[in-house]
Amino acid sequence: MEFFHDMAGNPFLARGLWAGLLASVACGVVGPYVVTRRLVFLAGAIAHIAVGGIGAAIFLRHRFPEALGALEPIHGAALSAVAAAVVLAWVAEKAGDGLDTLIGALWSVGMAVGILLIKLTPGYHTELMSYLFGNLAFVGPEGITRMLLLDGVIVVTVLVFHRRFLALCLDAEQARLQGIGVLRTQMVLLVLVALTVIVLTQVVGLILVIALLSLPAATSGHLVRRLPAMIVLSIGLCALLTTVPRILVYGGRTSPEPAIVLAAGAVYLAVAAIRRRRHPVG
Amino acid sequence: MPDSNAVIDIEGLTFSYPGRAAPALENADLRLEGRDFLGLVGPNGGGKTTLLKVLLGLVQHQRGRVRVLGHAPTRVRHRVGYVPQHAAVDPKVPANALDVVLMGRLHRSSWGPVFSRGDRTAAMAALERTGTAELARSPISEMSGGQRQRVLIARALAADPELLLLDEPTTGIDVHREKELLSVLLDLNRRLPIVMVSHDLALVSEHLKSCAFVDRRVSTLAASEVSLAGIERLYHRRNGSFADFEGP
Repeated sequence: MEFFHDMAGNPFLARGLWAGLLASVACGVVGPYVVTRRLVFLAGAIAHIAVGGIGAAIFLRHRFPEALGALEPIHGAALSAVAAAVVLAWVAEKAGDGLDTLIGALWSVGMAVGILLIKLTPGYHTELMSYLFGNLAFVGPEGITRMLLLDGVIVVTVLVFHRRFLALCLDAEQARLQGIGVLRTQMVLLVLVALTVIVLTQVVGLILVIALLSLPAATSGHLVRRLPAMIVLSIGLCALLTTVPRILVYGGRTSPEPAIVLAAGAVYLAVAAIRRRRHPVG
Repeated sequence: MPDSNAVIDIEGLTFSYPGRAAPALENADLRLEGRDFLGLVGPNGGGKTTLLKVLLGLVQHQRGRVRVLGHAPTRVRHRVGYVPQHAAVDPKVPANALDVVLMGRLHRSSWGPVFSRGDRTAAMAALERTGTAELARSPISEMSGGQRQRVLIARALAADPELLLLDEPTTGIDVHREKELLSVLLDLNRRLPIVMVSHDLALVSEHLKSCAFVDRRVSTLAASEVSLAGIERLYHRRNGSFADFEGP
């Protein structure tokens, strides 16, 4: 309860809660498609390639302070994540065998580029840590605005594309016969994943993004049996997971970001275990 | 001679997959008229599924002439109902039978989160025609293979097709369910021409009106020849010629 007591005097605490709730909208809406269409590995690649974008932004800002002084690392992350989404959608369509190797390669090369560019930039870059592992304690007002904007784009796009996304999940060949551009639709979905990654960066960090994109949706998948219900439940679960652990660890030595991910993992395992005991076959 | 009455009219069709020397289909002819119920039989890898893909315009043939409902296949896709094997639909997707059948209506409008009332009515009617209306709200993960297969037929029917193509609908379905499925298809055939790929020679010879043997070429059996013995003779003839090819 110390948390609520301190909240009155510290605007960062309230903003951290808002950030968690806004992130819940993005990952609750997009996560179920990611889990259902089995894009978890692709989503992981997008998140790690975004580290390359952060490195590039820090490097370029240092080299060209006049022209690119306003470039924030998160802009680099957003650009590289969206570019990665488009490229990976295309690669996944064309590659066939060996796709997982190719994704793994892009995943690690993207991250290596980021680390290299940061090493090449003079100075000590503490801000990198907040992008890699999240930073709920210091969410600025511009962070909230950015999340609101991205949430809006994600929700509107899903409302427009929902039936196409579902068609892709169920049977891509039939979707094609119905005149739906499978590659284009998959690209839109992966760009939404990229935007969600950016929304989640400050909440759990790029390294742990994949946990919030997959675990709450997978947990919901055990409990409800239609995609729209899965989305609603995922948003609720994410909202609990990004707030309750944060409040519980407040004032202690544990940072909230890994606590959120551990809670997500624990809830998933508990629900999966209960489901298995009730339905041993399914 | 072009004939506008033919549902399917294929002449001299040759198709090879990229990078393969031997064509999957070579100089194949096939005609389907009226409300026929044609069984496509033949050995594995003989080109039955490829023939369906040609008819759907999913692959582009290199030579020959293909007309479906009087047009090029890609132009009439939305008028042809395609029923894949039930495994084509991922049973782990959180969706019920109605969700799946509604996907057959996507070509009309696919923007926005929900289907129109008209689409829902058409989808429910399609479920009824395949005897699966009571499954409308059941999750596909809890259905048997036979039930899922009938839901996929309903999905094809939801588009009001003028021709139905089925790829081995009885695979992985027990004998009792197979009978049910067949009676649904025979009932539909009173209004719709049907082409069905099948491994089940007894089923094809006993119940279907005509039969074509697909093994790179397509040999259509005359109505009088459609019997188990007639079809088996084609397999034997094929095996004979196969032995000749394989000889040292």
